[in-house]
Amino acid sequence: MSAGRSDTLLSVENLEITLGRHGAWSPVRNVTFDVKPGETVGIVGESGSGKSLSCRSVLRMLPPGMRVTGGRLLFDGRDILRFGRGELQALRRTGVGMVFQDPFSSLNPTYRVGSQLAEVLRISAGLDHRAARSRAIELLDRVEIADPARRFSSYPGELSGGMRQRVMIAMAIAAAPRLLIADEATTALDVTTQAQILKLLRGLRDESGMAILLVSHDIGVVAETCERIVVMYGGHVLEAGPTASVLRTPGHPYTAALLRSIPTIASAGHPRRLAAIPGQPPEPGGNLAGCPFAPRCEYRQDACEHLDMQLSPAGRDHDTACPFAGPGVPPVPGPLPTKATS
Amino acid sequence: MGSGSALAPAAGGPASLAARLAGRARRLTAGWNIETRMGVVIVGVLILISLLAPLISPARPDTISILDALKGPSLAHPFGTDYVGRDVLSRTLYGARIDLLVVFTVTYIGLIVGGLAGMLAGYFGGWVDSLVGRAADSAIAFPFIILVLVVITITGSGLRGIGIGIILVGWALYARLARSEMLSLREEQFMIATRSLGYSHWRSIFRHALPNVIRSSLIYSTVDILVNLLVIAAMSYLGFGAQEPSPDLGGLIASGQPYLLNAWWITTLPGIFVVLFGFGISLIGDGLSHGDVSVGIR
Amino acid sequence: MSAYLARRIGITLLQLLVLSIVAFFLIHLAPGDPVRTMLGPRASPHEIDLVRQQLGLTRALPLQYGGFIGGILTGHFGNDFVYSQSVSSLIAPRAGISAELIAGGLIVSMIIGVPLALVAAVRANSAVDHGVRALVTLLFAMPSFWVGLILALVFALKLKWLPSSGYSDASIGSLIRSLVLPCVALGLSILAVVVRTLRGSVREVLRTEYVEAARARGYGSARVLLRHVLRNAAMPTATVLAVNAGLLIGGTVVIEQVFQIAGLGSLLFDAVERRDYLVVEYLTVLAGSAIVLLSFAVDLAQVVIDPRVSLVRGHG
Repeated sequence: MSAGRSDTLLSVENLEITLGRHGAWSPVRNVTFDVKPGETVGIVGESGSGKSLSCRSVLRMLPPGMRVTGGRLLFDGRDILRFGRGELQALRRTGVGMVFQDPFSSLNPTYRVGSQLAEVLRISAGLDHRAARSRAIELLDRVEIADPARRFSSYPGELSGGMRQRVMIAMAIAAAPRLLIADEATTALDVTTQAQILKLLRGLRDESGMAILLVSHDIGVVAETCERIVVMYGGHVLEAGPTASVLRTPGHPYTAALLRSIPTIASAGHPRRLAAIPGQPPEPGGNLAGCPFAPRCEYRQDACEHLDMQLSPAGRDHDTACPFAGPGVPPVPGPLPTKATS
Repeated sequence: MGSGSALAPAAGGPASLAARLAGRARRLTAGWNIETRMGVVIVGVLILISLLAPLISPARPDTISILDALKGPSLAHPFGTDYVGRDVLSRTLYGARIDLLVVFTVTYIGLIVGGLAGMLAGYFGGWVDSLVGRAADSAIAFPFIILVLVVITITGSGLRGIGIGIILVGWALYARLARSEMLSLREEQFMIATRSLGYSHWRSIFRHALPNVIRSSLIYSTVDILVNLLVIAAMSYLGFGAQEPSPDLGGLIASGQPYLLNAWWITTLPGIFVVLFGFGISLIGDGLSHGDVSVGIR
Repeated sequence: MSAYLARRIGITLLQLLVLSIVAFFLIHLAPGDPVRTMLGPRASPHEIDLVRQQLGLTRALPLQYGGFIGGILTGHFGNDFVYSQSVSSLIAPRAGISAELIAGGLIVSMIIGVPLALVAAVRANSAVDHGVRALVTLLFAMPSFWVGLILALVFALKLKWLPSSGYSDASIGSLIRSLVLPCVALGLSILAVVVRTLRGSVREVLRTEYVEAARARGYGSARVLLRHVLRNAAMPTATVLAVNAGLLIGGTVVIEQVFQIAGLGSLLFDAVERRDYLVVEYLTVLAGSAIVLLSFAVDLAQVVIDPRVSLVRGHG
C-alpha cells in the first residue's frame, strides 16, 4: 500500500491537541512543520510550549485525556491518525524510534540491559535469540559503550546516566527507523555527556541517513546539531527555518529574546547583564486568542491579540508567525550561541 | 442569615443547640459522595433494626414451638424456623444486636488505646517508640485467628475472650497509623512553630495532631470493623462465642449446619446480614477515602 | 548484599525466638491450674501430680523452656494426653492435608484473582473496574464459613457433584474432588486482598515510563502486560500476601470445620476446646514460624528477582 511516497518524511499540518471534553484546553493549537528524509530538525521551546506533545502524537502516545482534535500527521504521505492497529504497531516498531528524557525510568529496572535490547531486535527485526544477542552487542558497541559484551548483562541501575541514554538510543535505532525522535534526550545529562550524546546522534545519522527530530528547551543543543529549527511557544509555531538563518536573523521577537537571554562569555570590554524575558509563560487552561507571546512581547501591538498565527515568509529565507517582524526586529548582538564556537 | 423564619432559635436554649448541631451535621455531610451516603444508609438501617430487635421482631427469639419446626420462609416467619420452631429472623436480629454491640465496642477501644500509644510513640520517639513499635509489629505479624484462639484457650468460651483477643491485635494497627501520622506531622512547620511558642508537649500533641489522627483512624476503622465482625462470626461459628439460648450470628449459622439440606434457610439467611453490613461499611470507607484526598491510609 | 542477608536472617531468628517464648508462656498465663482443667474435675490429686511431672511443669522455668525448644527442634513434642500419642505423630499426617488445602486456596485465588485484577487495572475507572471492585468487596464481606456452607449446599447436597465433607486421597481424582469446595471457599476469602493489591501495583506499573517506552516501541499489549508489567507488579503483591498469610492459616481452621477435614486446623480447634495447652502451644509456634519463614522467603525471592533491592543495600 504505497500511497504516494512524497519527498517529505514527516509532515505535521495544523496539529491541534486538546485536553478534556468540549475543548477545555488545547496545549497544542496549530502546529505545522515537516521533516525530510535524512534531515535533522530541532524543536525549541519552553516547557509548556507543546513541543513534546506534538512529537508524541506522531506515535499516537498522548497522555490520558488528551486527543488530537485537528490537523493531519503524515508519515510518508500516509495519515498516521487513520492508522489501524497493525499499521500503528509497524510505525512504532520500524518506522519511528523514540528516545525519552529520563533513561533510568525508560528502562525496566528488573531486566538486564542486554535482554531488553535483544527484545527489541526480536520483535522489530524478527531475529532469533542468538542473532538478537550478537546484534545487540554490536549495537552497544556502535553507541560507544565500552566492553559491550559484559555490559550486555548489566542492570540499568549499574550504568551511568550517559550509558543508559546510549542504551536507549541503541534500542531506538535497533530496527533502523527512518526517523528518530529525541524528546529532551540530553536534558537529564551533564554538559560533557550531552555533547558526547549529540555527537553520537550526528554520527548515527551520517551513517544511516536517518532523519532526526530533536526536541529541547536548550537552544544551544538544537543549534549545534540541527539543520533546521522550529521555535514553539504556547502551542504555536512562532518561527521555522534553517538554523543559521533563524539564529542569526531571527524573525520573531520571542526567538530574539531567547537568544538574548543566553549567557555567553562576553568578549572583553563588552560585559552584558543576563537578559531574562520578562513575564511568565502562558498558564495551562487559558485558550488565548492571537499570539501567545503577546503579553511579554516588547513589540506588541493591538492587532497581536487577534493574530491568525499563520506562518509566512517575512522577507527572509525562513518563516515566522509575526507579521510585524520587519526591519524593526534587531539582529542578535554577539557571536552565535553554538558550542562549537564558544 | 436565617432571619424572618418563624422558627429562628432564640439566643440560648435547646432549640439553638439543635440548630447548631444540625448545622454541624450538614457541614459534615456536605463533602460526602454517593458512596459514603449509600453506605451510611445501609449501615444505618441495619444498625437500627438490630438495635430495635426487641420491638420489631416477629416473635421472641427463644420461643419454642416444635409443631412449627423446620418450616421454610413464609409471611409469619420471613426467615423460616429452626429445628425447635424458633423464628430465625428474630434470632438473626437479636444475634446481630449482640455482634454489633461487641464489634463496635472492641474496635473503638482498640482505636483509642492504639491511637494514644501510637501518638505518644511517634511524638516522643526514643525507647517509647521502639517499645511500642516492636510490640505493634509482633501483634500484627501474628495470624489473627490463631491469636484469638490462643486467648480463648486461656479465658474459655464466650465473647469476652474473643473481644480481648481482638483488642490485643487491633490496637496495633491504629498505633502504627497514628505513629506514622505523628511522625510526618512532627516535622511540619506548624508543629515546630507551636514548640517555639513555648507550648507544652501535651498541648502540641492533642490540639494539632489529634484531628488528623482521628480522621485517618476513623477511615481505617471501617475496614477494621468488618474484619473484626468476620472474626467474631468465625469464632462463634466454631462454638466459642455467645452460647445458646441467645447465640450471635456465627452460632446461629452453625446451628443450622446439621440441617443444611432440609432447612437451608437457617444457615443461609442470617449470613446476609453480615454481607450487607460489610458491604455498606466498605462503601463508607471507600467513599470517605476517595472524597478526602488529603488523608493518607497506612 | 551479604550484609543485608545476614541482617535478615538475624531478624528472622529473633522473631522465631520471641514467638517461642510467648507461646511457651501460654500455659503459665492461664488462670487456675491448667492441668486440672485439662484432666477434668474428677481427676485425683495423684493423677494431677503425675501429669504435672510428665509435662515437666515441676521443673524450673528455664529448664522447661529448654525442653520446649528442644522438643520443637528435634520434632519430639512430647505426649498428648487425650489422644495418648505423641504430639508429633498427631501433627505429621495432618500437616500435609492442611498444606494441600492452603496451596489449593492460593491457587484458586490466583486463578480467579489475577485476571480480574489485570482487567480492572488496565481499564481503570471504567464500568468493568467498578464492577470488579464491587464484586470483590462483596466477597470480602462474606464470612468464609458461610461461603463454604453455601458451596456445600449447592454443589454437594443439591447437585451432588462433589462430596460435602471429608478428605480422601485414595486417588488423585478423589483428592481433587474432596478439596475443590474447601479450596474455593478458602480462595474466595482472600480474593479481595489479592485483587486489590495486584490491581494497585499493576496500575502503578502501567504509569511508569518503561511501560510507556515499551508501547512506543510497538510491543503488543499482551507482551507488555505479561513480561513487563506482571513481573514488576508481582513483587509488592507477594509481599502483601506474605504479610497476610495469617489470613490463609486462620481461614484453614474454619474451613476444616465446615468440611470436616482432619488437618492441623481441626486439631487446633479440638485442642482449644479441650484446653489442651500443649498442643495449642506447639501449633501456635508452628503457625508463627511458617509465617516468619514465609516472609523471609518472599524477601529472598525479591532480592533474586529485583536487582534494585540488593543494589540499594550496597555491596558487602
